[in-house]
Amino acid sequence: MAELSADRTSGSGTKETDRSERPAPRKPGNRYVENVRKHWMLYVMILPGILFYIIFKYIPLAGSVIAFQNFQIFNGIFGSPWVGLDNFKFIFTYDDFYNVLRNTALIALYQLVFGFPAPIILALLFNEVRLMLAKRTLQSLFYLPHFLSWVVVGGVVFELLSNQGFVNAIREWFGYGPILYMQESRFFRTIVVISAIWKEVGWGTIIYLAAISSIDPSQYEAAVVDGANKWKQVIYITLPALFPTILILFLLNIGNFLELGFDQMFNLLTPMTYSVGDIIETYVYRAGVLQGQYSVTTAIGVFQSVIGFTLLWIFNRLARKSEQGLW
Amino acid sequence: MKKFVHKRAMLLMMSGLLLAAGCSGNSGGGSGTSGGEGGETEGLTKIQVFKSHMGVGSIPDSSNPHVQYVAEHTGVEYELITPPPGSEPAEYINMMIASDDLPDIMRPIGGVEQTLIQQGGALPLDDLLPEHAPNVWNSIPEEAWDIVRSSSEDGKIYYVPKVFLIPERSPLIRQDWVEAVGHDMPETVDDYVELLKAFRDEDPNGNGKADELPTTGREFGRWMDHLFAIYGVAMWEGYPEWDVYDGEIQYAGITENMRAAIEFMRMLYEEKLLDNETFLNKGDVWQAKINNNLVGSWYHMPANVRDRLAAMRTQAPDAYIAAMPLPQAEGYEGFVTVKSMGEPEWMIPKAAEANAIASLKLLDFFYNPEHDEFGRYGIEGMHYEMGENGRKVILPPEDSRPLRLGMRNLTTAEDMELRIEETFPEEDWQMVKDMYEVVEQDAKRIAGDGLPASVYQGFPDIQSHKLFQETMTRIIIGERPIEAFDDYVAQWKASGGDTVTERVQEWYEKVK
Repeated sequence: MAELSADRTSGSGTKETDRSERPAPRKPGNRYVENVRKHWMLYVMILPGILFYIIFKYIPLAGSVIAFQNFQIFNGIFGSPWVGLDNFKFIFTYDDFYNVLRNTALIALYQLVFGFPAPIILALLFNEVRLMLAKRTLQSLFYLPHFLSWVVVGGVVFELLSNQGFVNAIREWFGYGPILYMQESRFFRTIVVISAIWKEVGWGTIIYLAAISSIDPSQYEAAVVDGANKWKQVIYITLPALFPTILILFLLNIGNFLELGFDQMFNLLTPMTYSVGDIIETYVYRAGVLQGQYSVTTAIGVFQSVIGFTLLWIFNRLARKSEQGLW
Repeated sequence: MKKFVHKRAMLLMMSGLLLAAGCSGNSGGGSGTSGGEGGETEGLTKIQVFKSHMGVGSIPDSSNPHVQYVAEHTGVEYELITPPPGSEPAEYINMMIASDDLPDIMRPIGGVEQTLIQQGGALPLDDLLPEHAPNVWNSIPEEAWDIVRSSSEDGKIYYVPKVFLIPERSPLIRQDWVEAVGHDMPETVDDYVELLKAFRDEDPNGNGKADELPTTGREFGRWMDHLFAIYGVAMWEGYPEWDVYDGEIQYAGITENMRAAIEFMRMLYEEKLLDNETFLNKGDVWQAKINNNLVGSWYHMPANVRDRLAAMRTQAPDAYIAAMPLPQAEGYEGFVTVKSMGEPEWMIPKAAEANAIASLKLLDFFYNPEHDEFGRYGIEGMHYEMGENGRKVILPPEDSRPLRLGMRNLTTAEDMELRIEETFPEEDWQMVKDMYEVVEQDAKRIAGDGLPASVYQGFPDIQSHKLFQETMTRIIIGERPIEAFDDYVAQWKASGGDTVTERVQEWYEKVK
């Protein structure tokens, strides 16, 4: 930033004379101070954001040390005994952990494969709606579920799939007996993925729609002159223009790979579907929040973060090879 | 970069922990005290009381006549803290602990009392109780205090136990339905199955639709203990308990009895005699099904059937509920599980030591026989009104009606009789009293009564009964074969069950 603006202000004239006319090379410290003074409003604007990250993200990070303790809540971090890697040993020798991990990874994978492209496709579809009123109305309708909590959506899902629910009413119409989908493990992951898409797909289109609207219309005009139909325009203009946005969102997503969101799973899960739907978050809730096993569950959280960070790092490197990464 | 390094839930928890660590230096109780220790006349001591499962109602403020009445008699003004109905009290209480915001006196939930005891967060009450709460000390039987002592390593009394000297829950059945289908009260399991089939096929609710659910339960297999009880499984609201099997105290969830009970329910489920939505029923759905005359046989508390009866009678004026004697299953000794003492009811956090005497004074008020009547009825116009025959009638709970604190949890047969007469209209007295008489025959106090939650230390999934619930529900709905039960038993033992069993057996040696 500093260098850029310095270059721009003194950009005229030849570079040689410019450099020789400078009285002395300024210390970087001075340059920053000057920059802050000049753009103080911008700095004030990012201050709350920075504070937010420090207070709610970085400081609590230090609390992760309890993963290496036998944390006793009445004695605090400083009074609890250290146990080294015992908690991690416990996790990795714990039978059920692999089941939980497998469920988490599988559902995460499905969410990525089916959930991630959904808003892109929907955004492309929205983009083709020419009637402004229809487009706006449709968009609003698709945003709406995002504002419902999972408690509500979970209730609706249970109701739709109950014995007297909508789906079974249709089955009955065709002469089939009812199926209680929510208690059959073979349907569970599908229900999870579909309900998540239903709830979040509209909201996810916002960024893509913004990116689409910034594409230069003359590109499309030129394509039409060259005889490209709608389909070809999407393939050769819209998608390539969206690619950087898609890539960045993908990277942000991959960092959260193992974080499926507690709310959804908690509201859909029953003991009948534990074997396919018990994920890290629901496990941590049961053991950590309900039974106060803070150390073990923190260790799981740390493990989860390490996986997320590793994935992010790998994919970021891959991304840098073709386009640009996050850093 | 976004929150890729950690997840929301953990963050919340950890910021809470940090706060706890940061503030652990402050030793005073959460509430401000306006008066001095001895200043009963000039000022009131404010005491925060945490109690869960209060039902609907508003939180009483300090101008509430109930609060003021108690304050007049004790010099202690209580401030009620309770989680909203339908929320998870264990979660609420753990959040209070994590944010170092403990009340002055609390009812522990979900084994949290052991966390307090083991980490030095609980105040020992051995010396305080006889002096400052004599009514509590004397009215609770010595046997119960012994169980309390057995739950801590140093043998001290860290909490006041709940004492329930009569069976509290019972298998219930629609007597009017039994008559409508021309059956007698079932004596054997076969009779019971025939009766359920008649409920299913013969339209006992008379609405012309085959919508009857012969018997039902709730999600996680809760509140269907009657079906387990037939086979002699110690069960408490759907959680397997500990009782003596083959001469040794064991987890009822892995016994042959449990296997037989599950097999029985699997048959009921297949025959649609057990509500096929049982394991999807939330509490309110379950209740609605019963209230709407859809259910013939279920499990609940006889003392609480009043509102249910009222709802049933709007459509079925002759609705009559009876307790069902447990049908005899060949080769099994059925019983209704009773836990009558030793469950923690009140404890005082160490951090609230400064207010401990006032807290005990408040507690003693409710255990004092002189205040029995006030404890039962509360304030006229707010909690009860005068009936026609000069009897006090307790008003039903409402969202806008202030809750009132009750702290006495000691129920004798005498108490129950009074309670029935207070809460039920006269014509129903006999019905409810009959229920208690019937269940008394089947009731058995289990060997694991009063077992401290500390035996589960390090095995959260054993404590949460997760393995059991998963296996039981999936076998019953027919997704797994009954043989899956044997794998589960092996897995339960290997994943910590054996260790827990050893601890329970050691504990049992101490209290037996």
